[in-house]
Amino acid sequence: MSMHPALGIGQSGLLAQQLNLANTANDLANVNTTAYKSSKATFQDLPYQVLRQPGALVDGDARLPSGLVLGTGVRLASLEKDFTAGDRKQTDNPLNVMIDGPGFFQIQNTDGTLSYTRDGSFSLDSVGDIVTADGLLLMPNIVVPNNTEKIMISPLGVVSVILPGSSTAQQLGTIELATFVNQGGLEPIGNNRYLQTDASGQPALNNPGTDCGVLVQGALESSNVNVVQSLVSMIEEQRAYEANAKVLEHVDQSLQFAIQVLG
Amino acid sequence: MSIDKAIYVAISGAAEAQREQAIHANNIANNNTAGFRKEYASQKALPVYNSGLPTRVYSATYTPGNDFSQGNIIETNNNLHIYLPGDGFFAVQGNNGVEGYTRRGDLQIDQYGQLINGNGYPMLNAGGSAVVLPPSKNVNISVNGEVFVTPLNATNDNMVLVDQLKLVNPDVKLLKQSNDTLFRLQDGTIAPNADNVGVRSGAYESSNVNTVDELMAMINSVRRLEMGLKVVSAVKDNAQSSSGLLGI
Repeated sequence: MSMHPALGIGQSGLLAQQLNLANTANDLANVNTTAYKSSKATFQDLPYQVLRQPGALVDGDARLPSGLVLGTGVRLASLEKDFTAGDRKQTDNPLNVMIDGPGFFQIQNTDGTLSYTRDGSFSLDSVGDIVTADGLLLMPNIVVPNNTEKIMISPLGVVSVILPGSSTAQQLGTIELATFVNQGGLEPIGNNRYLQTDASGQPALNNPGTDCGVLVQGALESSNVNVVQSLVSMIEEQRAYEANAKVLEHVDQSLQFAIQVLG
Repeated sequence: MSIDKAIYVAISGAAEAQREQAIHANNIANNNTAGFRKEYASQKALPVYNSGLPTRVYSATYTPGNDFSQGNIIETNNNLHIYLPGDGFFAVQGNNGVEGYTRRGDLQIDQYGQLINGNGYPMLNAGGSAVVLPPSKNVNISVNGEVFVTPLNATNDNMVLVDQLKLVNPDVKLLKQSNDTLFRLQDGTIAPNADNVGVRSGAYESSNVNTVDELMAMINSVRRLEMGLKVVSAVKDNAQSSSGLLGI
């Protein structure tokens, strides 16, 4: 046992509430981030210590009617992303694509591995590849000829272009979408991108339109952060933080008293 | 005679007050933990009589049980968040594989398709084994705990019944808290399925800790600790002055 068991418990509470507050601050900071998904903190109580077993013998035939089962604090177990859809924001940029459904775009990272995003604010790079705002390739790779007059992306993901002097559309390829059994298990890596993990499961690749949703050209998905809700949770988190700080204050007071009286 | 026995009695009271503070600190730390049930703290007199006057009554802190009143219901509109509007518990599989009971209903699906709660414990079905879902687009849990899904490869939006959650309603006086945070029956038996427990979805139950009550209890036990220490200091003063008188 440390100096006082409640010290560690109060500290665990402070730490958990501090992280919770940081998470809410991050949600609020991303209220305008395209396709940002808010997170919800999940708390767990730490394992209990059985200091006195219920029914243990205490003296002669006396038995404790109930034991002493002491909790050891709390921890922030996970920040669960809430993947409910954000509002639709019309942009009329032909390379802005919103997913209406649960799917993700596949993006090739600089090291060749894949990541996943719902941020469809694409543009073209110098050779005509469709890339994200960070310049990463959309997979499967689609190259748009540099003299293209018009780009069309159908709800089912077919990318076609109209070239000068032609009145018919020419198909370039199809954008595929990935879905996951447990999308809450995806690992957010920043820049609106996620990595697959053991918890998320393998991506299921499909053309848009089946179960992964359809594409909407000329629109973006806005952040799903609810400002009012976040501000209310912030008040709650602050009070919880203060209550834990108060615990530490009381414990400090009694330790100080002990040292004064016994010292 | 050695040092006055009063010093040991007093310091036991102070030490036990410390443990009580730890219980209240734990309740406060968990006032945002879903499904957490406040733990009661109590003191018991432990008389130790031998020759002489019956003055040695030690105190012991113990945890007589938990407050099973309902906590706040947090609306989330997430189909995987469920709560019990009345009495009862969900059955989950604890760390050691033994069935335990909890009111925590913020569910998730893990990589094996198992339905787990926010503590990571798999939810059990009426037969006592973990609930496993096929890859699905949509999960719905009915009032009596039936789990319906729309499979990912389904061509229509019809929901199919895949399993039913085990719901129990044991006498809360017979429950004890285990070290993996779950409740179990004191005699180690498994609670039978109960059909009088209702489930609602779209919200989960939070902790039932009242922070103000706990802070008050905390102040109370801080003062008790101080009183115990005060007695120790009085005994010390007595011993000092008698040593002075006797010229030791």
